Amino acid sequence: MPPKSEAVLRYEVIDRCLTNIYKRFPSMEDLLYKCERELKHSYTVHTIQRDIHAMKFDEDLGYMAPIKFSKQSNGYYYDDPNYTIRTFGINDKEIEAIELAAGVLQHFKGIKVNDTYNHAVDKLFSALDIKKSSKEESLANAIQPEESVYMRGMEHFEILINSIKKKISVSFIHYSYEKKSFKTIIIHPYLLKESNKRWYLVGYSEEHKEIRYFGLDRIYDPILIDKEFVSNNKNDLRNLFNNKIGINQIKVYEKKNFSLTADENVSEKLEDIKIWVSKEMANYIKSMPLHASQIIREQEEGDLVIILNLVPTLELISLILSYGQNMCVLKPNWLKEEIIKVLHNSAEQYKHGPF
Amino acid sequence: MKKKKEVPKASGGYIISNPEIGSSNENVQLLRIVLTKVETKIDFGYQATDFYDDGGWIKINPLTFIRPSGSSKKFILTNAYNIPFGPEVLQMNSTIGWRYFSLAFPPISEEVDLIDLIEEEFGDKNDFNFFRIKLNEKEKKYKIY
Repeated sequence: MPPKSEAVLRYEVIDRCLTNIYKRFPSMEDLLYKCERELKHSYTVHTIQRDIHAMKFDEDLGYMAPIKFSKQSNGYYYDDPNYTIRTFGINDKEIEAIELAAGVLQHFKGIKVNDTYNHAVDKLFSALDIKKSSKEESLANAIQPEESVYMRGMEHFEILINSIKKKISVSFIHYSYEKKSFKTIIIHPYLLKESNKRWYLVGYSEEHKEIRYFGLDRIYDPILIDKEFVSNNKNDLRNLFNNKIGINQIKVYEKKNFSLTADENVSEKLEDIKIWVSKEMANYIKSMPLHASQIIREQEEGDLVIILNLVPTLELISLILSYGQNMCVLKPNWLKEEIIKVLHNSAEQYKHGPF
Repeated sequence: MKKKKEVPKASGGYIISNPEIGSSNENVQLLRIVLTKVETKIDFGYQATDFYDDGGWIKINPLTFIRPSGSSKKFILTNAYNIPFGPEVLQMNSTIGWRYFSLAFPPISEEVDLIDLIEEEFGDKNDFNFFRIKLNEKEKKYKIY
């Protein structure tokens, strides 16, 4: 939160004076004295008069405070005895912004990220006395993020985010779809990472003695335990994931005789990936790069050659395959060969089964 | 429709992560023990094999118990999560089926170092019998936060 401006601090002091039931109708001298005393700064009467005017009429400020002057009591007061800027200090534009943000977060509702989320939003709106717009009017309806389906394990989101925040180690049971086996894991959690609509817990695994990630859908019964926390001082995890498309990097030793398996550690081994893109797809790839590292070399015929510098992942392969005949890996050879193998096997499967 | 049982959240107490076991059932993996004042919960993982075409089935005898090793004092099963009490069975439906489940027993004294978990006394290899499960290995026992 940015620091409050001095003017806002004065508005707050004036507000406290006007809502002080033990000293009603503070005079200009009272307000000046209070501001100077609390903020340890000298002000003029004109400054306080200007503050009162802003609190009453400044639409950008949004208070629209019902401040009146009583000649009889020679002091200021709020016309509405329940008014205070502490609950009404939000203007229409800010309400719209909150509604919009709430709309963006709507897609989390269905997947039960956080039981308290809905309640918190309701409480916020209620505390601010914002009437929620009707469904037809709501700004939130003007945006439609992709629908998220419920993923098993999302019920752990809250406990895991708290463990990350408070740096508490976690014990859980993990089931590996690939190895078809269970493991008891103790993790020092650092990050919750979303990739392709799946969420992963990233942290130092005591079992593996390195930073690993675990799909939330494969995590069972997490329990916070009292164990000295191993902090992550070596790796900038956010940058580490920026070097990939997705999360499931391919095991290095399997690249020669590759099969679709993932390496669950998060090390960083960058490779140049050279890909041909058809002219039909060229504009799409130019307007939305496959990866931030993408370099484009335009060909005379309108087709492209792009070069990506990243850690190869299963998601990269899926992405390339999703473009069908409009995309073709030129380099490295192991990746090219693997994609040929996948396409061949897939074609054989369509022709002959095993269905 | 049966109401799904919720696994209660652990509070206070200890966990024993991947405890050492003297001898164990080969079909099911004992993964963790959660010792609280309310219960002794034991977590298991079951992976179907290709022994049966459809992966077979699992169930738990409601008279399953734990006992301090060498003692005759029995702590009978109080609850089972994600596994039915026999004779009802849970079909795996395929050879790649799997199940994480937990069995709950009454709380046991912190003084107990070793326990046995017995589904069938003098049973065969299909019964969930585990002997001499270590509860007080320092490097595997952690206080619940």
